[in-house]
Amino acid sequence: MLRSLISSELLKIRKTKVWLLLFLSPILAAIVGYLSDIPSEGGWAYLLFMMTSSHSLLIFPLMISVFSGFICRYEHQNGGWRRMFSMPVGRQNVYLAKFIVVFSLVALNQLMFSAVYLGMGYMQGLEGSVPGEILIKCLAGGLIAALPLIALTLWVATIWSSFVAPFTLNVILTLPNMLVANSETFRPWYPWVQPFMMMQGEEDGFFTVPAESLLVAIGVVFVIFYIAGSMSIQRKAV
Amino acid sequence: MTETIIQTDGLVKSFKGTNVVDRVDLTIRKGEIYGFLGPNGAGKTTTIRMLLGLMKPSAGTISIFGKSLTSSKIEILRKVGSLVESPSYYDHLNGRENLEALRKVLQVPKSRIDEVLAIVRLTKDAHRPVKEYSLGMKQRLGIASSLLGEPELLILDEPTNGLDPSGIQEIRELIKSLPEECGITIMISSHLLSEIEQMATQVGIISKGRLIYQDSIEKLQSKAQHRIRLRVGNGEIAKKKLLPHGHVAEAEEEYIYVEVHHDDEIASVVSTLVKEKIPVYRIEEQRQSLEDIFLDLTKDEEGSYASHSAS
Amino acid sequence: MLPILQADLLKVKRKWFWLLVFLGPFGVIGLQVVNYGVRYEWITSRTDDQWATLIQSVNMFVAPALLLGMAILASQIASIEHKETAWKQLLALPVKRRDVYISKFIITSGMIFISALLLCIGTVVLGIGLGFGWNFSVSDILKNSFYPFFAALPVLALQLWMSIVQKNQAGPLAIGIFGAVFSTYAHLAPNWLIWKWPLLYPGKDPLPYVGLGVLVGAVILLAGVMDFRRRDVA
Repeated sequence: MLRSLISSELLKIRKTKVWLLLFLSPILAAIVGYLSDIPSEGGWAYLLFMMTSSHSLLIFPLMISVFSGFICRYEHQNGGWRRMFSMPVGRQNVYLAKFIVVFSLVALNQLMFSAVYLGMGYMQGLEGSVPGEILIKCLAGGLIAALPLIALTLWVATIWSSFVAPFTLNVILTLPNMLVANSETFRPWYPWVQPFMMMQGEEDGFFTVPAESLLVAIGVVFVIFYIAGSMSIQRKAV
Repeated sequence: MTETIIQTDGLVKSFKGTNVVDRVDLTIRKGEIYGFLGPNGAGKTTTIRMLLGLMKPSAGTISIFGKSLTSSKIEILRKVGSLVESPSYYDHLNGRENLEALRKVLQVPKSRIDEVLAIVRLTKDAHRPVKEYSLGMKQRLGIASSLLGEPELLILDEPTNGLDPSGIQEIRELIKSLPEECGITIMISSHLLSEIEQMATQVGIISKGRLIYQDSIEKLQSKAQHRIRLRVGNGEIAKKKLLPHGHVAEAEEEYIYVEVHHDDEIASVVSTLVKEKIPVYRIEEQRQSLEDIFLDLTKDEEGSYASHSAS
Repeated sequence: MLPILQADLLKVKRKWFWLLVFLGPFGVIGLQVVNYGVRYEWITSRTDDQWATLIQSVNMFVAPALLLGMAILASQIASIEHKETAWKQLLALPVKRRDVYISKFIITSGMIFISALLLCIGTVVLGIGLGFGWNFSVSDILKNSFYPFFAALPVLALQLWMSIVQKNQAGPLAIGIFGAVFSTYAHLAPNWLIWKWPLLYPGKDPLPYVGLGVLVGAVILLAGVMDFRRRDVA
């Protein structure tokens, strides 16, 4: 059932312009990568640092709410939820299917980012080898840190029929990232800055946070938001 | 001859190469209730959107109140009230505020809001947010909005869509009363002939973008053929016996059908049958309904599709 | 024009996004409250001119908050008419499309103007609250709010254009995000990019960008009007 729900979700977004939105953050990263002055020593690591910070500090958490909003938008129009819930499918599965689709979009976005990173690196003729392990950690870390945010934005997007309202909330909570990223006390626990923390890499990053405690924080926040979201959809009156 | 209110000349709207509205010449005169009839997707709403200046014609001209829509749009729209397809409203405002938002633009006296609310009988619910309104109430609010500017021409696109029978009845009475009371000209579109038949004085039928009929409702009704059906036991025998007497009939099992234009003819048919010892059990008049005429008219254009959407 | 404006004002009644007009400046100031709360000693010890430092710290958030606020407000103003297809009703009234469009722009820019004013007041209150005394430059504080406002008008005109001609707001909002995030890196970018203009640099004269903002804003607004006038309304 879950598989058919997911394929139905994919069908629904196939003819939309959501794919175009996937390009935004890679383009920004490309611009930043293109404009940075890269030192001859450790060029790849420096480029990764420049590009991940521009990618993960603001635009990554902001785009997540756009994806979540997108995946719920057509359900809010013309009684989509009503039709969906009157079909023989569990609401939990509907929620999970939407979650997986948003997660896949984010994952795709991460892949596109790394393609742009590699492209930029080769284009600038960087010396040395690609820091493959750090890159993979970085991508995976970002994805893991995206989980709480996906859960939260999806939760809000199922409640509010307006597309802009959940987006606005996310903007208000994302902007403080610029400060929170500097605060050692708050940053592991602030979900909007977690992707930034996770994508900094462990050794070469600017900030160093013990990965274990960060992962625990992410896990706790994720579980809370996911349960809240799934309870809310279970009780949703349509 | 009375004043012409709407005149279109070779009106065309094409989307991606297909003509959704194809060379339509509408003529609507003062004081008429003009029923604009056609199956769904025939081009009614597109035509109406062009009349209101919401869409630009691909070709052809529109003149309303004797003025060109392209050059005197604002002047014309000041005298036009409209309701296009689904009702438009601001759902976070209440009924009165919705009208107020339009009144500020139209600049009519505030008292006009109470008048139109009374006309559509929403006075009691005017303070409630529109999102709590039923579909019928929203539709009535839409009609109130269209009346707000004291229009001389009212263009209503499917105004009874989605209403229950009593709501339809109510709106119908309201629309019929307007030309008499205020001298308004009304253009009303529908895909239901029965709907138009009860209100309209003139009819225009559009099918696949072409205007295939335009005249008074009486003319349309007179197009109906009158046939007499007689139950005679054996139709074939009756038919043969009638022929030498100059009566042409069609036979179908125990019935025969004759087309008559005069009562004497039917008397002659019956007396012939009696003389030929053929029993006559029943004589009925069969009038082709307007619905059938409508279907006949649109069938030529559409094939089988019309019979579904027009019924 | 005036009647349409009055009608538009009525339509934004009871809309939640008024909250944003207050929340925006409040949030920007609130972040500085936290910032100073956490490391008051460190910040104040590094400077002689406490007011100038405060204004600079506030400024860090002005451009992205302003640009995102513009994207959201433009989208919301347009959504009022997109919802329940009110465009067709509005445009079948005896109104000029130009006036309808410009009225939306005036309302949106008016709301952001209020935000900018609130930001000034907030900055003063914060500075005094932090004990920096009453000896501050009013013009610096006004400039900090209103220079970016005027310099960002082209972005507002662009966002409004996109939001009005398109029913699905995901695109305009995503581009809004892009512009806002981009602005935080825009010191690297060429000067002709409108998203760079609301940034203020210490020691650089921002006034040309203010003039340019108003001018280019008007041009984009005009282009939007022309486009809106020839569109079919569904």
